[in-house]
Amino acid sequence: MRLVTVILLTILFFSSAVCSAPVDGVVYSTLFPGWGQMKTGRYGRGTLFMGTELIALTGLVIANIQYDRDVEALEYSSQLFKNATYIGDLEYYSKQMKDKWKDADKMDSYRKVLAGAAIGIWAISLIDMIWGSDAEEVPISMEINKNEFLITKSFKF
Amino acid sequence: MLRRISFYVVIILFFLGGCSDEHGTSPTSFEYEALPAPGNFEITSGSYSLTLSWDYSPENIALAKEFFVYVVDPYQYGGNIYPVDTLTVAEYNTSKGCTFDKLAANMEFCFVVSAVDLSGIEGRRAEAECGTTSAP
Repeated sequence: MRLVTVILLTILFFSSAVCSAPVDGVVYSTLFPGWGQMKTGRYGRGTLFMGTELIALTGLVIANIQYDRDVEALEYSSQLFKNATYIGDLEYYSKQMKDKWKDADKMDSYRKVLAGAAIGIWAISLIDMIWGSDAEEVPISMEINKNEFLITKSFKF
Repeated sequence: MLRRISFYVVIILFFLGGCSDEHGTSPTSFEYEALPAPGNFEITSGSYSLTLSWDYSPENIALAKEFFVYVVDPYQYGGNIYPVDTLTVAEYNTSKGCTFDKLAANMEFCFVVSAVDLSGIEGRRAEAECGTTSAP
């Protein structure tokens, strides 16, 4: 009963937060971290989320390509090992297989860390958009007086 | 808009699906008791010929199927080796080596020899030995 109450309160809190958040910003942040922040005028945070997400995704792509190469090299060494009949070749390809496996395993760890980082940044960006946004703030405002006008551009970080 | 979000979510899931683990578990250590290299490998020069001889203990002979004889490529440093002859254990027991004749006179040839065990795995190779043919 207590657990159900906690879950219901969490859902209520979350849904109220989502409803009060700027919908467009949440949608844009869902599509790409930082985009929603940019749309709502918080360029500093937006740049930070976008930049870190881009770095994480680029690193992930590079690590994935390198992982595929290491796996190919591992399979090639494994094939040479299977076909070898000389003890010297067998020992050499066995060592090479181990080295290539270690390389592939290391790259796999990098991939997992970078994928986790990309998902984490995406989640933080969404959470920031839902709870940390200031919907009232107008990024650009113009004030017209008698003989002058004033344009104000606000930045949030 | 919901369709667009679903599309991107599917793309992300595809991308993460592409990160599947393909390298498996660590390869097991390779341990194999291979036959030792033949000992006292020698080359005796003859007229247009070279005679190769080596020793191999009776215990190892019992585990061997045949011997491989290779010639070393003279034009490559550290040289590639090419198989030139195979001696069965019976042939080795008779001759204790092999002879290459009809070779060019005054030329140096280098050879390597090794034993092959009953499961077909070639053992350690002896150090290369060189000999020069002579003219009659």
